Amino acid sequence: MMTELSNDSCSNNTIVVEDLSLEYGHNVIQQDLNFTIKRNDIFIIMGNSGSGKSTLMRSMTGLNAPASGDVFYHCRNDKNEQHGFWQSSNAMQLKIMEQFGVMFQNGALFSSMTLIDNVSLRLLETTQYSPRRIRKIAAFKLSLVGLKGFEHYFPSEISGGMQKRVAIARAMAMDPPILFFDEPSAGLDPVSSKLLDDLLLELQESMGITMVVVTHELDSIFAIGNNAIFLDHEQKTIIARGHPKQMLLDNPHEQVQSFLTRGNK
Amino acid sequence: MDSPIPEYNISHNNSMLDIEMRGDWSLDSNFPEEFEYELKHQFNKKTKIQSVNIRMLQVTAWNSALLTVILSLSEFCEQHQVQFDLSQLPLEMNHLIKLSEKIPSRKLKDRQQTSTSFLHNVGSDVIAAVKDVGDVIEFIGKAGVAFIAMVRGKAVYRSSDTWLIMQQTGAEAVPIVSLLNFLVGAILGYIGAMQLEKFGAEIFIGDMVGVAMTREIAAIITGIIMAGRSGAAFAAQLGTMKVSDEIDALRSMGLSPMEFLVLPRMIGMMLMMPLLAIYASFMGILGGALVAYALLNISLEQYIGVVINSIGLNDIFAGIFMSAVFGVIVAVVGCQKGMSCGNSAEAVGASTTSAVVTATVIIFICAAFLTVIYGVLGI
Repeated sequence: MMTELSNDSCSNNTIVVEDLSLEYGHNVIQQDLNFTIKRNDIFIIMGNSGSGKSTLMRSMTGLNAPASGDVFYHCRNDKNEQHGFWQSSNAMQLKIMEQFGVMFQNGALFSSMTLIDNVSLRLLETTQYSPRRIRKIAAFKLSLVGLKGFEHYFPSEISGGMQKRVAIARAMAMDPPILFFDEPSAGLDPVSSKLLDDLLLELQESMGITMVVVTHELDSIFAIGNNAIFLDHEQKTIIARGHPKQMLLDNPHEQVQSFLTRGNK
Repeated sequence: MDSPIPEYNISHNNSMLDIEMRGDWSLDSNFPEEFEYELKHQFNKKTKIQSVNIRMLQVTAWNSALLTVILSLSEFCEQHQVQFDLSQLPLEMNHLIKLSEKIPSRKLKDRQQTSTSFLHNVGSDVIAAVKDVGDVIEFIGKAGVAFIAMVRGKAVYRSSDTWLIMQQTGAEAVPIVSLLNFLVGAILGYIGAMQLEKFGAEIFIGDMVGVAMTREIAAIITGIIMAGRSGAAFAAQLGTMKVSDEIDALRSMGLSPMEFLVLPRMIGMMLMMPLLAIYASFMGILGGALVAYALLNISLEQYIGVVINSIGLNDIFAGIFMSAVFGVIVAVVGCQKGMSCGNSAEAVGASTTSAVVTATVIIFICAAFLTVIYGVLGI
């Protein structure tokens, strides 16, 4: 089932995280996480290394169960009600997962498949479109990320930056209203990183996608983020929230200021 | 009420093609695949179309599938020099079309999808095989140099790694080696019992199972188990290390991967294989004893007596030597395949498979070769 790109009457809150606690083994990583991500936000999850940013994203995308709490999403056919992902049935979880696409840190492209096959995979397996239509949709997604003409290349034949763009195209294959990004700029040179940021902004503007970005790249945070939370690994919870630029101006926490100024304050 | 299904109406207004669309175009189950064909079919009609107008005011939802139709029509119009006004499309759709066209199509180089002849394929395969043999010889040479460095006490490696490899390839392999060799001994005894019974020579089952297991079968079976178990593990471990640049990291620290990674595996396998083979012979003989007792009513004392009389030191050393050779083969092939692995998950899988297949084939070739040599030397 595909999601409409336009004409949305659903509530303004796309994702609500409620009382979420994350553990690794018996170690508490984060607790009492409460925040709301609004429609069309580019929402940044930031924090120092080891603060649990990626673990939080994995919990939000259904990959790791939280110790407690839940993540609430809207479903396409039920726009007025939100469903808690972790208390839902398997069938409902799959339905909720149709609402988002995930881009992993290293792209996680399937090395044995061409780029167009990577993008087509989910469409082929979960929709009723004809194979011809699916190829066209996949080619269109690749053109959106500037990779028209590279459809039949394998991941190993393109650069790291291009692999990340393919991963974005793959995450967008089903036209999800929400996209998750785990460290999208990691390992990229400044120019490629800037191009990727521009691409995210353009996609957000064109498609109205809500984006959740896990990153600690300051340039990206200030360039694309319009809402953010800061996870602290000592207090094991959110210690700052709001617009990143506003955080820089008026957040009193030493850790936040140190993070946002590269330790210069 | 919004129409739940996508609907369209195509009409001609003089030289203008007028397309009106309604309903929900976001569901894959309802998507009208024929829409695109029907649109293009309009251009084959007698009336010359000079412009296309699309109205989507009553479209309640849409997605990329509809966009691909619009894009296809747009390209078609461009080819036929027909005016297609995109400005009446929804704003988001226009944004996406512009974004998709922002970076023009480019190719690093043309993909050549030319078919190759049978001879070309055979030639390529032969060249690749020769190169593979060359790589293996080079690897054996480097492994030999590392081994000499170890003997001279100049090799840099962690002895704890060697102990760990010995545990993994030796102690942890005991259950499977026990089971398979016991069963092979029993099968050998069963087949032998059926034949020997015809001549009233049942008691020689001990000779047959004992000599066969001790000289060759135990070494071969254990070698194959090791190729599938430890050889595959070596190739996968080293292959994954190569993919994640760990081997380059070792080199950059001035450490030799041959000494640091390959040497412990070779030593571990060379030491453990003979021990496992001796143990495997014992398990095989035990399997034969079970059959002898169950089918031929030969007591354990009688059976053991025959086995002890039939097996000489030459048989035991022949088996130990063979198993040591197989140990080297499994270690060298496994490590070589891992170290020459490509940089992808698929390559790790391919090198693991190749390690098992290559080691198994070489083990059988060596077994045949050594059997002949033993015969010629009268061992």
